[in-house]
Amino acid sequence: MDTAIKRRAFIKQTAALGALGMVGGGLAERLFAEPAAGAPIDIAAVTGADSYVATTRAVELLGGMKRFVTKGARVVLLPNIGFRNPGSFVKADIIMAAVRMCNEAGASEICCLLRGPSGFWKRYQEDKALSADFDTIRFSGDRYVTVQIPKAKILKTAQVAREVMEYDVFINMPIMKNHDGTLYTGTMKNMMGACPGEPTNRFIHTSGDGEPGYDEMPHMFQCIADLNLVRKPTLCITDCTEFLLTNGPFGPGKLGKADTVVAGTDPVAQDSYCLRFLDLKWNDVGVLANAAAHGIGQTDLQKLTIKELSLEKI
Amino acid sequence: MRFFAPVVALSIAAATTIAGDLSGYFPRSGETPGWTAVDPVMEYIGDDLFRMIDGGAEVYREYGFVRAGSQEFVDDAGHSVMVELYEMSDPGAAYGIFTFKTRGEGRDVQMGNGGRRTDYYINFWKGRYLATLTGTDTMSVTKAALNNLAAAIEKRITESGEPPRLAGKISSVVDGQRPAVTYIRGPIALSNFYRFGASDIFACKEGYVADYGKVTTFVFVDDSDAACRSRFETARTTFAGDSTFAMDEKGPGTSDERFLMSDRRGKSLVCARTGIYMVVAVGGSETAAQTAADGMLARLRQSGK
Repeated sequence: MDTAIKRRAFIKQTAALGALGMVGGGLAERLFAEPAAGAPIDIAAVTGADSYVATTRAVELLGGMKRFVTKGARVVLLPNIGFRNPGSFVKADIIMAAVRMCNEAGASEICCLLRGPSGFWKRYQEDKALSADFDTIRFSGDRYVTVQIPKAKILKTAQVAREVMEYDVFINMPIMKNHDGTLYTGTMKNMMGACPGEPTNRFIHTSGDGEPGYDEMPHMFQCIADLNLVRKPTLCITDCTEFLLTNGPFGPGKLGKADTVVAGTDPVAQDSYCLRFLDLKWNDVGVLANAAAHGIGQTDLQKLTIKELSLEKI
Repeated sequence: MRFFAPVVALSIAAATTIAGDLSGYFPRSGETPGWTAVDPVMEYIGDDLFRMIDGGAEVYREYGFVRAGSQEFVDDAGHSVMVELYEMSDPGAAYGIFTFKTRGEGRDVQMGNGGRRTDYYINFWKGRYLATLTGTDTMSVTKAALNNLAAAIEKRITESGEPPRLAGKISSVVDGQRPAVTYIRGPIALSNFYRFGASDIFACKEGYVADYGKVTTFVFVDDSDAACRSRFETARTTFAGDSTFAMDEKGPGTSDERFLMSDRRGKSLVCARTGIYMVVAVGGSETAAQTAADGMLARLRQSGK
């Protein structure tokens, strides 16, 4: 290891440990006890009581945020924070861990497409030690561009948040949870959060005819797969800490708890992996088969390098 | 998914009558001492339900959704309760979505035509209405508010309803165990219990799911014996052509009105019919599935039709 690399690694670890000193407490020393593996990791699943620390560690296992965010890059975050019932939204700690890492990597702008329910950011707004990163977020999500999707089977045109199409880095941040219609929602379906209610999401939900029926579900499966053709995320970070097992996506419902954050770059693989928390497999759900058919990603987890880590066991 | 502007924002002050909008069913701000409404009731009609609950809307529409309203109540200490009221097309639809949302979770509470509560939320149905009240914490003050706000809604709903005819029969105690029963009205609700394949194999319009833990028993109701027989034969043919299921052609009891198979996870399935009813028992050993199917068929025969 040359001196320059040593210095960069030292600065990175020092900065990260500083963040953990604020949020993660005693886990900070343990976080870097295990160096990132030499072989490329496709999916990193980190389990720990502190989701901020787990998020940081998961991205580090993929090679660190600098693998995805270069100095001066503009970053757009798409967190699933539209609901407020327990197990229905991504924890603020997970989003803020990503923001911290983006800032450390030198992002010039961080745009978040959703604002979350009232009080969602309270801790990060009021605590002076934490608010510096929060203040770097620009909230948007109300400017859309019309995108043609030539390879789509149904959704040939969609309106998508401008930043998703234009920014250098797109980080998709879903929560893995039950969905009464599609059986699960994760990275793939979270793309609908980048679209307006009218006309795109209404078309996806109602197939345009306004009549309820089973024919709408295959329609939705295909539309979600089609929508994911517009842009593949640079990075996916999935909240699998506490999640709805029933009555999703809105809740309230039965809650599952895994205290796990999963990071990866392939949205299909990401969801295929995370389905285990709902006791499902990729071929139980229609969306992933259609996405795989589009060539968006990999459903066969045997072909991937997956690193699972428990922070409590370090 | 994001929140959208509501279709209709109704002023509590203007809600002097129940007829015409849902706001009249909601508690007045301050009616539960210490708890005030944050905003007016937001109402969503028909297809616009997806703006309120995103993908959760499909299953409501399958049951028969008319409109919904929601409103948040808070106290001075920052505790919060979200109140949702769903108007369904008929009491059966309200009962159905109630059973779908509760699925045996929590404990019974005497409220409306039936209610259940967990440590942070309450569901109850009355007439054509389903109320869902959710606290953001499990503090005693929030739990008390859940009860009081629910009671305030309950007393405003003057109509009543009865569960579908078979509900009591389906939920009978078997070997000391009372199943969690869900009344379903279509394949979207059904798919939340078991995936019978990519297509709508049973063309489900009405049915029940009885969850006994290790074995889940499905009951599909048809209009006539002929329709049920046709559905049964279609299911047998479809399963036989689906590689994810292995038919047991010589399984015990196999007949014109019964077939057996297993799924790729090794679960046993027994499909049988009598009159207008088709029964599918899933899970456990083949013996356990057979026993569950036979028990349900016997109770259905007693119910007539």
